[in-house]
Amino acid sequence: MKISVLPMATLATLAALLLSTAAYAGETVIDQQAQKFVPNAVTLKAGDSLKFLNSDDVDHNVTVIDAAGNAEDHGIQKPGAPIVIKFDKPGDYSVRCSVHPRMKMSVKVE
Amino acid sequence: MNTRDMKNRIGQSWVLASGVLALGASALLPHPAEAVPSFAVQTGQPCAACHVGSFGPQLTSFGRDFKLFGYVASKGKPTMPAVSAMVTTSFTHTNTDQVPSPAPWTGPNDNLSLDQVSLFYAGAVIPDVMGAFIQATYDGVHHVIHWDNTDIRLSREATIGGSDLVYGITVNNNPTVQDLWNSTPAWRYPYVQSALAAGPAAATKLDGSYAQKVIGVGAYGMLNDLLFVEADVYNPLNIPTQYALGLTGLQGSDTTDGVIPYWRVSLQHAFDQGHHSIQVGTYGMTADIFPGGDRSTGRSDGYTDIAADLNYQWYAKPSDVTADIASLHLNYIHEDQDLKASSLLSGTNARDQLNSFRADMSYAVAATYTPSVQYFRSWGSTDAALWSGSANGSPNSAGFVGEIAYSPWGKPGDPMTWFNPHLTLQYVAYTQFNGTSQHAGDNNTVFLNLWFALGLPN
Repeated sequence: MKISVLPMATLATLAALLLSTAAYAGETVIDQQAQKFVPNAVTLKAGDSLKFLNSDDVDHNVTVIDAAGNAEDHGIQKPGAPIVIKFDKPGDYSVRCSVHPRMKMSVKVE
Repeated sequence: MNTRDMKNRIGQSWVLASGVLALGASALLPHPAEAVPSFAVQTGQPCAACHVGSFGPQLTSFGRDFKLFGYVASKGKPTMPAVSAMVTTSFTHTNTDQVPSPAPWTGPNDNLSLDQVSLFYAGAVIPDVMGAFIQATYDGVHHVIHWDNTDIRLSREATIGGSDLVYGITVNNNPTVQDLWNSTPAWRYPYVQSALAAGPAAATKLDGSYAQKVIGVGAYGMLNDLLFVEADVYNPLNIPTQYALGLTGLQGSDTTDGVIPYWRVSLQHAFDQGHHSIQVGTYGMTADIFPGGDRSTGRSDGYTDIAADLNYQWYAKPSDVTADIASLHLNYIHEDQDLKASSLLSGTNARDQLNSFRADMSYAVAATYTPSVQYFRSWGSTDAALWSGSANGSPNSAGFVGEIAYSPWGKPGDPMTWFNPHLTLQYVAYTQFNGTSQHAGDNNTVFLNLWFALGLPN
């Protein structure tokens, strides 16, 4: 029996695209560039994630602080190494870099 | 000898002494110079993140913020105490031999010296709240150990009507040592100078006269990274305390009548995504002084210093700390001298003025090679009794400094954030020296300096 390769490949590609879209649907990219978060304010849905890039040539840090002042330190981030942080609970958050005190951004989770 | 004659003799003596001391002080006290790897260890940042040319003390935008926020920014919990050290050694050649020799242990020219060995506590004291820069120095020229520059800061943040405010308190021992910009006297260019070459005798009170000889407290605030305001009050240390701290205070040195207020207002702005940073500002202080500690006239001399400054930096690539940086610093100080006591004691003018102006530019290539040049000038009233170290009673001096500095390390990826060497070749050329242009070039100086900064690896 002869099986056509083309429809199989098309199906595989479509499946991969669907899976890929599902995986990244709730992810917003934040760059750290010239010691700034870019963009510096975002609104997310509960369960979405932020992916932090580091385009600078020095280390950064990502610390998430909730409205009650509770801080979650995600450690040092080397240049070129991304960090992904999921926000499950609705609320207002700020994100700071403990190394660069001017670096801050706001995150609203609905 | 009647009482008046005796007072005149005393007055002449202290004027002569103060002139010689001023000359000696400006010539023989090394210009303060600091670079502290414990800050690099604490933050995990290379020296180049905070310092132009990968070596202190010229600050980048982030370096100024690190100081403004109280020396507390950190990559995490420290594992080692924030201790650093530095060693500076140098070779000095002047155009003509110096007679007498610049120090008892040196020859008249071509001298090698161990200039300074310093220990620092430099880093956070209370995490996120309070930090300190505290220095003790062995002065290899005068063979003394003394208290050196100190700045202890407590800093907090607030939001007022949607505007960001960084505010704090500084306790320090040198007016302008707490300043954020490299135009003001404590951290101005040239960042290192020969301790064994003669320098101009005249200097305003703001220009280092009170370095380490006072203790002050001040409050500051920076609104929206734009407007900076600071007010300090300094109390002079008495002579026994200065002796105890290893300072070169002498019996008969000036004493201050009351406290010394200091103020600072500055506007800064960064634009074009961090490619440009500009600042304009003003600062000043007033002091009432009993010359030579002599209170017999019941009067003191009044000094009022008002200064204006400008800083500009261009960053080739703000996201890359090793990218080129161009810097410009301008500084002008005007001093009014109301010599109510000195005019009675030693026959100075009743009122004098003294001005100083400095302009320097540098271009740091790849945070490694930093050529720079400066024009400097001081000028003021002719007063033979006041400027006894001058040939004609004039305080006027002028000249140029040219320099190339080399820092091989202190950049991202370097193996040791806790060790950094620095080499400087400098030439100082005078067009006017202590009131005269004749033989001013005799004081021209070639200075080669090797400077090591080291901390404790984390």
